[in-house]
Amino acid sequence: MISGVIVLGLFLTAIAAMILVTQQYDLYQSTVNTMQQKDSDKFSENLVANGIACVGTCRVLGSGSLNTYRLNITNYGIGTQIARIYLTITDPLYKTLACYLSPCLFNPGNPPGTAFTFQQSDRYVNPGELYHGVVIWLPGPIPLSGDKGANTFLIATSRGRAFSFQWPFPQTGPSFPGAGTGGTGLNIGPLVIMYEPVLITFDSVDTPTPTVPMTNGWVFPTSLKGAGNYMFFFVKIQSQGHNPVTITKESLLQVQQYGASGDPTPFWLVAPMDSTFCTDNFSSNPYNSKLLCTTLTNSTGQVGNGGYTGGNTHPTSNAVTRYQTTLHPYIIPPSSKEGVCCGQPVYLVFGGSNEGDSAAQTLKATGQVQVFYSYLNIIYQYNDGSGTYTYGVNFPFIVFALG
Amino acid sequence: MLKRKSKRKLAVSTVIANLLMIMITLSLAAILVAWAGTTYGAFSGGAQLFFVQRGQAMQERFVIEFVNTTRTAKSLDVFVRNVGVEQINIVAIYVNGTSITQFLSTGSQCSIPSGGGQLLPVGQVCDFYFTWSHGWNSGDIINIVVSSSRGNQAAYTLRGN
Repeated sequence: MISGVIVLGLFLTAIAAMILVTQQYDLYQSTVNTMQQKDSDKFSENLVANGIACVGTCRVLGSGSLNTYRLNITNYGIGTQIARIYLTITDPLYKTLACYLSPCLFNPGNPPGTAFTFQQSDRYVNPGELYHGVVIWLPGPIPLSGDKGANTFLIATSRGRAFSFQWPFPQTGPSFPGAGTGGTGLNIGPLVIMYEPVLITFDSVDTPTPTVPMTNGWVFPTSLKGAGNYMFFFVKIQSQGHNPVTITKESLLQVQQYGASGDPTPFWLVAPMDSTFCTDNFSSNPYNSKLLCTTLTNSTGQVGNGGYTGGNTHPTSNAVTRYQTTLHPYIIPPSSKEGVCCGQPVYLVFGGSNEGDSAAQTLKATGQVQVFYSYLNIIYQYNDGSGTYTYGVNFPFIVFALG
Repeated sequence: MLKRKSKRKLAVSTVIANLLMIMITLSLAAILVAWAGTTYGAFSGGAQLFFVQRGQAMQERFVIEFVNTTRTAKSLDVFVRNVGVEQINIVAIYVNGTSITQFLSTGSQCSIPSGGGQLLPVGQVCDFYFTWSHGWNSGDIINIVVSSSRGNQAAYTLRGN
């Protein structure tokens, strides 16, 4: 009887100890698991900036006014909430401005449209969302401009992550000797293909007379959408081969639009433009002096303009005349020394006024910013000494927005 | 015929014996429970305190979100954000191992009073602004550590260009 009592007592003691001790441990372990999940969520965030576009007109304005920008972000991670945006300007040209070397803080705006805020409803970025727009407001005296990399943005999330980028995006590398500006370029066979952001431009009249190239972001102004309005892309091409390169009429710039969820919509086929571009319509363009409009002869004896020749190859509906390689081919001059960059640059102009395939191409005007991905398809003929062959390359090119 | 007198040999009756055993058992049980409660209560109280404190420390999360350096003024702006689920008390900021005691904070900026701390609610940001006279040459390293009263730390490292 006594021993039974003792054994019973031991059991009761063990149970009491287990309950009392493990209760707190279980609670602690639950907290550990919760915080580990929070840490996992934190490091699952991944925001990538796609660029900044001006909404409307952006320039130095008086105090009391606002410059409005749209910051485009793609979320490659889980749903994220933007807590704050920091902006630091490092261009000495703007050393008198408030954000020069000392960060300006952008908190969620309340009310919207207040300087140094961003739109409160834009702070939530869904997982996998493409080109999520965050509207930010800067005071009038502070425009976002300057040299590449002059503005440093840091996006701070509510979970404690920070994503930074420079705007305008710095070039990928210095230009190598003999080449023009625009980075190191993409070397494909004898060609060196480069792109300069200022060479996107637009026009509001039927005849192609380019206006000042866009310098703030990539947004084609809403007011210029519609029939008869053109958008032009200039692709700078040089050659490091020892023979001229001739661009064929099959070359094109394909433009594909995607919705926010990644669904594709109708695309453009943008083809090389008419020769009048070269000789008649760039007198007021700051890049006129770089255009090669002289006559050149390629290896087969063809005579053509080194700049803009020919017109649109799209079979139907585009108002621009067809690019004709037999009459005025694009000829890329050779390098003075084989294998060394580069020969005289040629600006291959792609222009389009409309979207679509066989139907008339029109720029969308839905009132919302739309994002377009472009793919450059260059078909060219080159004689490397063993005969003239036709080559082709197709690669992702640039992304731009209409808004 | 003689009447045999039966002599009772039991000290107590069976019923009383059972009652006594039950009472003894219950008394022993009560003593055991009281003893166990006292002994393990003290132990579990300590364990409880330990796990509660560790749990609160685990729920603290804060980051140094941004650091702005001003070379001409030799000053640092340290932005600290509370991304946890508990209010934190920032009690110290160290730069290259040196505790910062003087702050230039004005207006909405934060500071750490002597002997005290700066409370930072969940989701809020504090801007600590102070001077730092060293490490402004190219290649110099500035290591910033922010400490809370629960023993957690956030670190940030800069290198001069």
